[in-house]
Parts: sequence; structure tokens; C-alpha cells
Amino acid sequence: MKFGKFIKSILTSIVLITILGSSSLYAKEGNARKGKYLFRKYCRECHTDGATGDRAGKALSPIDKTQAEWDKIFKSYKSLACADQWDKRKAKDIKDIYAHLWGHAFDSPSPAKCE
Amino acid sequence: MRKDNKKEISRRRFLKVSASAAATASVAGNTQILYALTTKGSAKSTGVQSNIEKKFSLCDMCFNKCGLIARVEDGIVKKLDPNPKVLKSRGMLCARGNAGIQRVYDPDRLKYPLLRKGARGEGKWQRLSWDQALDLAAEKLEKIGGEYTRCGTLFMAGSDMQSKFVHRFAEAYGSYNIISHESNCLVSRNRAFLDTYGEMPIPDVLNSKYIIMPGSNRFEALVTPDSIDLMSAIRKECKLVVIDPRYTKTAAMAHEWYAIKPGTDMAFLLALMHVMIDEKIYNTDFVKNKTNGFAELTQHVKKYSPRWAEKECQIPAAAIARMARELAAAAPAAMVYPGRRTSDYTDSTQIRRANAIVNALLGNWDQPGGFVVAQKIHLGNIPFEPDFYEDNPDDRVDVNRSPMMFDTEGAYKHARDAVIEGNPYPIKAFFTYKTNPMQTGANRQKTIEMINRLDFMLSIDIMMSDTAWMADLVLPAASYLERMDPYATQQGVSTGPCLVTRDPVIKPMFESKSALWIVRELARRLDLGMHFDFTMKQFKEAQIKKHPEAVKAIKKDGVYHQKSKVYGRYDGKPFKTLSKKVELFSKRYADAELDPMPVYKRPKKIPSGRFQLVVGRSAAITQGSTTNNKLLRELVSENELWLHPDSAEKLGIRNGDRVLVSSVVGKQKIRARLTREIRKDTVYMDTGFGVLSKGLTSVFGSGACIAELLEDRFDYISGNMAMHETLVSVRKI
Amino acid sequence: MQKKYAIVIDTLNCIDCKACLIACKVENKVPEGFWRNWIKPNAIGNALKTQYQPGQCMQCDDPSCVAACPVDATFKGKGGLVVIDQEKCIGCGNCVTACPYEARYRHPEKSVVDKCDFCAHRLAAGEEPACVETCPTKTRILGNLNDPDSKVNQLLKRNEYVRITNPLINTQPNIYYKKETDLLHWPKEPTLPGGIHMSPQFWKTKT
Repeated sequence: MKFGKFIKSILTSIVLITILGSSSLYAKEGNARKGKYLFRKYCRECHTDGATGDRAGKALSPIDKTQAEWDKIFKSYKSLACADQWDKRKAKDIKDIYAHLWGHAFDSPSPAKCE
Repeated sequence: MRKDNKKEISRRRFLKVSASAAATASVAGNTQILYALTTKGSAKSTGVQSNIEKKFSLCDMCFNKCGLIARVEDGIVKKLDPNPKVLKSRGMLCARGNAGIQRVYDPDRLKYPLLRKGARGEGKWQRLSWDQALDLAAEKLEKIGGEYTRCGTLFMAGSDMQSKFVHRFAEAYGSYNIISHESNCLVSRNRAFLDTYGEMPIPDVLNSKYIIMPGSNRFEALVTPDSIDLMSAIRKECKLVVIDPRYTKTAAMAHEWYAIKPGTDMAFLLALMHVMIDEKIYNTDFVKNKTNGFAELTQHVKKYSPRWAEKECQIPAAAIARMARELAAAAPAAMVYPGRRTSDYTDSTQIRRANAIVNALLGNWDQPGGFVVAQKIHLGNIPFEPDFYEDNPDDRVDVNRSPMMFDTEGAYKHARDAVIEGNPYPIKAFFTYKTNPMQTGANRQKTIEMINRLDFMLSIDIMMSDTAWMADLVLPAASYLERMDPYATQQGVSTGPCLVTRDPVIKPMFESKSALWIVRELARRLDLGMHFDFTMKQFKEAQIKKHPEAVKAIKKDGVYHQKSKVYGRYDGKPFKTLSKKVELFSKRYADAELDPMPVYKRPKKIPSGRFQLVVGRSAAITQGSTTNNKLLRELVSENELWLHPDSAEKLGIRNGDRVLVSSVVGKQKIRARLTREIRKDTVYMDTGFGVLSKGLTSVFGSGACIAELLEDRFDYISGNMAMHETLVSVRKI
Repeated sequence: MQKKYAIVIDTLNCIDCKACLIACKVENKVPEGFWRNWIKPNAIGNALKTQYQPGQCMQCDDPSCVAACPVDATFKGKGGLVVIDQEKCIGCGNCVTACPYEARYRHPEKSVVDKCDFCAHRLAAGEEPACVETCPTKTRILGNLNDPDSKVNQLLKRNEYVRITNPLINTQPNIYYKKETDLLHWPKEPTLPGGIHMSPQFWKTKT
């Protein structure tokens, strides 16, 4: 069971690393529309104003980072405090979330704040 | 006896107020404010007189949201006065603001939910209870969501402090087809400035020494604080040049006016660049350190000499060259004003790119008298985590029709076409809140065609607008003086950002309800109640949690001003663009196979006997939302066709004659106003008349509808409606 | 000392937005089709306008309207304001045609005459007249001429101003216009209803 999870997380990382080689392609692959919903569901619980608990993080919206910064985060998410949360997500979900964040980043053609 | 008693109270109040008068003395130049700003309810008088209260609110007669103080006597609003403490509105209220009373007490107000009984637009309605109306709406939305996915409903909310709840409802419901009014207005300007500077700046008109206004009419299309600041500026030492095919009131006040040939603004702007670069009078430091692509621009504008431009735009070459020099000499306290409504030409974004680039050459970014960075006061939110509907289509319905449409605004033109075509997927429901595309979206027949494709249309509004008139279900909204609204940030430009809000001045009339109440009730019926599990009061508390000082200030003054640096905010900071610099050359455009620098395209020739129809504003009209207002109708009771006397003579038209105006999309009858205030090849009429709705009893039957005549071209980059691309013929009836 | 109200108008500030017209109409419940104040463009017909001149009852010091009233219903009152006692007014209309500025109208329902009183009720409450306060560009400035430090006196000291009068009969108005103001001679000669002209002496209230 534990081993399976471990393998899955490694696979996720491999998938991410492979695809992030060409980030805009990756953005096109992910479903940005769904990503917005998934981001809110999985990330915003902690990444929001007034979040409480030991996991409370900084409020985050796509506009808070440039596309390059989002690339970096997705490439090296393992070093994030919430890496375990990332590992729980399906690779497709992460793709979708990435597509949303990258597609509406600070320097994107359509920067967006997540309400 | 009674009179004396009143005087006594008045004198006491006067003494009280004199003491605080000094604090407000410097609001807007020579504003002289004698009276105090009483907090809610504290101005109650005693004895047998009526119970007078003064309450803060914000105007809603256009998008500006100017600060106001409502005088309420025995629960009735008697007068709206400006709130001088709201620095953004500079202590003023315009004619529309003063006529706000009539909006609240208009006998034509929607009073209870109405269900369409006859054919669309026939005007047969049945009164429903709120429960019946909401049950019906929920049932329809559920059904259409099931058959056509949740994206099968298109949402459109106008500029309103509660529109965010309509958007929230749309997202909770599961549709990402949300469009705003802005693609009938200003998205091309925002597009151009975002792509040049990384954000949309605000112009510091007050401190400017030289302003060129191409196509903007700030003394009629009022924007606070710009309109007021413009007068303050030109009465000091600022020179104002107006470039407009019409002799607007702004042109009347200007030092110079050039009746430019419509659609050639870019030629003028490119020639300004040409002169500045050719004579090396641009801001060399700024250009060297903060911009990207100057070498390419230098090459690019070589061919765009003033002599060339004169032939295109009919502004004398010498005047263009002189203006370039005068602008540069006054820089950085100089600007080419960015304007607001830019829904004009098919290359509208590129025209505004040219505008943005001239300003970059002046180096006026982040400088007094130039462009100021808009500042947000960060507000909290009540987050929500709605479900994603897996059967939803991949993207918005209006995608892939313009390469750089703003996802957050959408494009009305494209969405409407998509609904009509059923492509890429069918849209069967339309949900509108306080927006009136029947009047503001070019080509009214197409809007009607779109609506005729729907299974269900719901409109929430204060009045039976033309858009509500077409709906299946009409829900009465509370007006701005009757409801509690969230907090919002305003930009006072030189006075910095501020926070404002609305608290109810009076109770909602009839059965009208706030948008939040309506969408919450709908959400409950759709099992989405958890996303609206809060009251407005709770929402506001979440917003303002980090600003307890703001709550106090707003209670006392009706506004909270945040002390912050206005200029020099970018010192040492990169621009929010791909190159981290001001993009004279846009790599993003190059990558998208768009012109990386604005390339002039000559507008089509106006054949003799035809006229170019242009859109504009009157200070007494906010499109269709104010033309039914009886107070304002005393100023403008119907629109007229502005026609040059020489052109009229050829057509045998005299002043006041009824004429038929025809374009390829429609025909309208209107009275001619012969005037030299317009070019011979151009005609103009106000927006907001020629209504179809018999629910607007005052304005019904007067004037012509410009939306019926305008062709629905679009700006190819942003998808903004392009409303100045229409040629019309005019003949006497 | 008694107050004497005056308005100083910087015509060049007016953008013809008509906020003052609607503010006045709401504040004073002026009936549909009638106005207590106005804005006059400096050109008519096809000529291009460059200026807009706001105005209202000038609270004249030698008011021809007062001279014309047969029942003393209109008179110089507190603050130097020309007031109408609507209880006394018989609605004969003498004062309406007597005013060179056409600042008066007969109220269609009340059948008494009405005009601008600088929002006397607001002044009494320590507020500015509605038209003065609401103006986006603060074209009108109100103040007390009997107070040497008042804003109007300071403006009058600092700049040159003109008064707009009928060339035949100077009623000594208390609205001062910046000297760049065009269109100075538009006031008409006072008459009695029916276009009856009287000798200049008839319109004098002062000897």
C-alpha cells in the first residue's frame, strides 16, 4: 500500500518533469477550466486569506506569479512544505491546475485573480 | 413659531459645522464646504419637524460611483448631495447623480417578479411571487444544465458592486460562460496598455502640463476624477488638444481642436513618434533603461512622417510636429490621454498600442502629470470551492475568435455569434444582471436573434430595460440606495486609493431584492446553497477584517483613504511584461502573428452621400439606463442626428427635419440637428433612445436606437466591439 | 453686520454638464418645464460655442421685480436676498416680465411666482446652495460681501469681474462674472405683462 503510493508519487514527478520541458505545450494539454475548480478545491483551503491551522499558506492566485515562476514551482514542488498534498493528486489534476495558473499568470495575456 | 424653532436648530448645527469646515477645504481646488459630514442618523432634528437623516452612499447613475450624502426625511430620499470627503469624486455630483432620486422613485420601476406570457417582446406579463419565480428559474437552470451542460447558460452582469455575486453564482452553477459589459466598451484599451506596460495605468490629469485627447470627451463622458482634474489642469498651465471628428464640449474648452478624419488616429500617433524619434526629443533615459524594442520602433516609424500623416488624418503636418515638440518639452508631465470607451475600430487595440507607445517615449510612467499606477487595497473574501462538471465543454463559448480576448471579460460580440451559430456548442439560457446589451451592443437585430435562440432568459434589473423586455423572467432588483453592497477600492489618482461601500439609505421599495439575495435563493434551490452561506454583512466583515481603521473612517466620512505613495512606485521594479520592460515591440504579438508594432491601415473611403456614424456621450445620459429618467429628460428628451449644414443642404434636409438613417444592418427615424460641430462626412447620435420596451413609459417613442444601426465589427485582437465602422445614408422622410 | 450674499462665477470653468440645473430642480421642487437657474452658451445657431455662462436670480440691489410688485409680495430680505412671500403673492406676473434676466416663473399649480433664493433654507442650515455645492468644476462661489475676508471678497479683490446688466436699466445684480465672460448684454429691458415699456424711473426702488 505504502509502496504503491510511493511509486505513484515518483510517477507523478516523472510525468511533471517530462512534460514541463515544454511548458506552453503542457498548458495546452491541461484543462485550464477544470484546473481553476481543482485549484480552489485542493490548494485554496490553505492558500487563502485568513486560512487557519498549521498548513495555512500565503493567499495565491494565478496573477501572483509569472509564467516562469509557476514553471519553477511545478518543476520543484518536491521542496515545498505541501509536497505531500501534491503527491495525493492525480497527474492529470496537476496538469489541469498548472494550465489554469500558467494560463492566467501575471505576465500571461489574461492575468487573473482567483476569487 | 414652528419656523423659529427650525432656525434655532439650524444655527446650532451651523456652529457645529463651521469648526469642521477647515478640514475639508482643499478637496477640489476651490471647493468650499460649509457643512459637516454627519454620521448616519446623527443629524436627526428634534421636535415636530420631520425626521431628517443624512446617510452616505455612492452614486450608481454611471460606473463612477461618486460619493454622495442622501438627505432622508421621514424615510423618503429628498436630495442627494456630493460627499466632499470622497476625494476620488472631488466633491461633485453631476446631473445624473442629482437625478438619482428619480431612479429610485420612478413609477416605471420593476416592482415584482414577472413572467412572460405573450411572444417575446410583446410585453404581456404575469406577476409571480418570489417563490414561484425562483422555483421556476431553478427548474429551468437545472433542466438546461442537464441537457446542454452547465456551460449552456451564458451569464452577463454589468458594472455593479454586486455583480461579483452573480459571477460567483455562475461559477457555483458550473458555467464559465461569463461576460461583462466591458467588451462593448474598453477592453481594447486595457489590452493595449497591458501588452505595453504590463498593467493599465491611470492618468494623472491634475498635474499634467500638456494633454492630447484623441477621441476622448472628458467634459461630457464624465470620469471622476479625470473630468474635474482636467478643468483644474487647463485653468492652471496645462495645454489641452482635442482630436475628435466632433466639436464636443471638451473640444470647446480645449486650446486646440482638430476634426480628425474618423479612423485615422493611429496615423497621427505614429507621426508623433516619428517626430520625437527623428528630433531625439524623447526621454532618452527612460527609453534606454525601461523600454524594449526601440531600435525596431525607430525603423518602423521612419515612414510615418507628419507630412504623410496629414494626408491620412487631415491634421496639418506642422501642427503634428509642433504638438510632438510641445508634448516632449512638457514631459514627463505630459500625456496622450488613454481614453476609456475604445470600442471603435477593428484595429482598436493597435490604435491604443500606438497611444501607449507615444506615452512611453515621453517617459511619463509613474510620474506626476503622467501615468500613475493603480493601487488595490487588499480585501478579504469568503472563498468557495464549487464542483467541476465533467461533462462541460473544454472552453468558453466565445474562444478562438480573437487571439487575445480577456478571459475574465469575454466578448459580447463573439458570445452572441456563438449562440446564434450554436458553435462550438449550444447555449440555451441567458442570465443578465443590470446590463442592457440590447442598447449597448452594436447590431440590435443580432441581439434579438440570439435571444430568440434561447430556451430561457432571466433578467434582473431595476427597470424594464430593452434587455429585460426580451426576457422570460424578470426579477426586480433593489436600487443603489436600498441595499447593502460590498467594499470596493477606488482610484483617486493623485489622492491615492480609497475604500468605499454602500449601506442602505432606505428600505427596498416594492418587492425588489438585492442581487446577492436573488442568487443565494437560486443557489439554495439548486443545492448550491453552501456557496452562499453568508449574509452581506458577513461578507463585508470578511472583506474588511484587516482594515479595522477603514470601518471607522467609513462610518465617519463615508470613505477610507489609504495613505500611500502615489508616484515612484516602480522605482527599481521590473515591468510586468515578458521583457520586464515597456514593450515598444511586442514579442507576444509577434509570436501570435500579430503586428508587433502598430501598422497603419487606411480606413475605407467614405463614398459621397454616405456618412461615418460615430458613438459618443452626453453628460446627461448613461446609455439606456438614464434616458427614461424624467428629470434628465428635461435636459435631453430625444436624440438627434448631428449633421453638417453643408451635407444637409445637398440632401435637402433642414434643421429639425425627420430623417431616415440606414446602414446595412438597420434603419431608424430621427430628427436632424444641423450643426458645424461635426465633420461633413460624419454623423452622430446619442445612445439610449429608440427603445423597444413599453415598460419605459417616459422614453418610449422618442429618438432612434444607435445599436439598431451599428454594424457589429470587432477589434480582431481583443474582441472588443468595433462601433465606428458603420457607414450610413441619410434621407429626408 | 447683516450678511449680503453674492455669487462669483468663473464662466470659463463651466462645462455645461447641467448638474446645477438638476440639483436645483430637486432641492427646490421646481416643476417640470421650469427652471430656477440656467446655462447660456455664448453662440447660437451654427457658430461654435466656446463658453457656457451659468446664472440665476441675481438678488439685485435695485430690483425691478420689486418695483413691479403691486402688493409688496417680493422684497429685499435677509442676507440681501430678494424673497417672495408666497402667501402674499397674487400671481399677477408683473415681476416675471420685470426681471431683465427672466429668472422668475409662475408656478403652474400654485399660481404664485417662484425663483432662486440662493437656497435660503440651506444657507440657514449652514449649507451651500445646491447648485454651488454640486458643481463638478466649482464654477460658482458663494460668500458674504459684507465680510472683507470672505472668499467672494478675496476673489473680487484678486481678479477683475463684470456684472451682466441691461444697458438701459442697471438693477445692480449680486452675481459677478470673471471678466473674460462673453455675452454681457443679453438681459432684456423690464416690461409689464403685455410688453408694456415703462420709464427707467419706474423700475427704481432706490431714489
